[in-house]
Amino acid sequence: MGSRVKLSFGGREVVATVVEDRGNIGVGGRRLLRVRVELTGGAEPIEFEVPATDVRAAA
Amino acid sequence: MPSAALGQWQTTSHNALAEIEAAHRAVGGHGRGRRYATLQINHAYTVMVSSRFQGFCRALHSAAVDVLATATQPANVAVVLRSALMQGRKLDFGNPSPSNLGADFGRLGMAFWDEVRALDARNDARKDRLEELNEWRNAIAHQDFARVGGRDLLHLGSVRGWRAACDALAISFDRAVGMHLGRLVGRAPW
Repeated sequence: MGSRVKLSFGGREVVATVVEDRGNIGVGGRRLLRVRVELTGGAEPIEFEVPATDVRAAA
Repeated sequence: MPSAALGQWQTTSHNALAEIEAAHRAVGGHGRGRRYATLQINHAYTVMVSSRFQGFCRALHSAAVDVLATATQPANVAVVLRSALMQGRKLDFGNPSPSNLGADFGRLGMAFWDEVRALDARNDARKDRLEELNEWRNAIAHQDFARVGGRDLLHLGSVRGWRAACDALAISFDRAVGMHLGRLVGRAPW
């Protein structure tokens, strides 16, 4: 938890924080991660879940 | 075949709840001392049934969103769909109350409780028991028993009844959500 990852969101690449490992509950038993994406302009961050295969480690 | 969420409810959660049952049986002695100890276990059992059932419902919702997003193209739209369906999800913060369940699964386009009721007429009574479970969960968590009759007295049979209702509802939820997703994406999701 707390890992920084990159993923595609809104047609651009963003850096997100992994806030929860949801386990192997996705399609075909794939692993889902809950990530938090900080938005610009003072907006509240958003959280959602993505397959672990859709993110990669941020430098 | 059930969802992974139902599989976890029927294995991991059942095992954890069985340990609470074992703790209840293990309390020795007689009289007031035993009654006080078992009351505390019954309270803990109630909170645990509610929280474990919340975990099941949340996992089922996550799995459903994953099915919908996987069926959505292009991928750029799918990830936006994921965020839209999960932002402010009530099950992330609140009890698995009938109202919260209806709102979160309703966001997937389901008439949730209508579809659950259509599978088994007994689910109406189980829905009432789920509401009662959550009222007791809140009463215990906040140590405010006004909404449950003003007393903290709770018998093991009541907790077992709520758990049985959750067991049956879990199977119906899994089926109802699976059937709904099947209609949307054109194939059985699990």
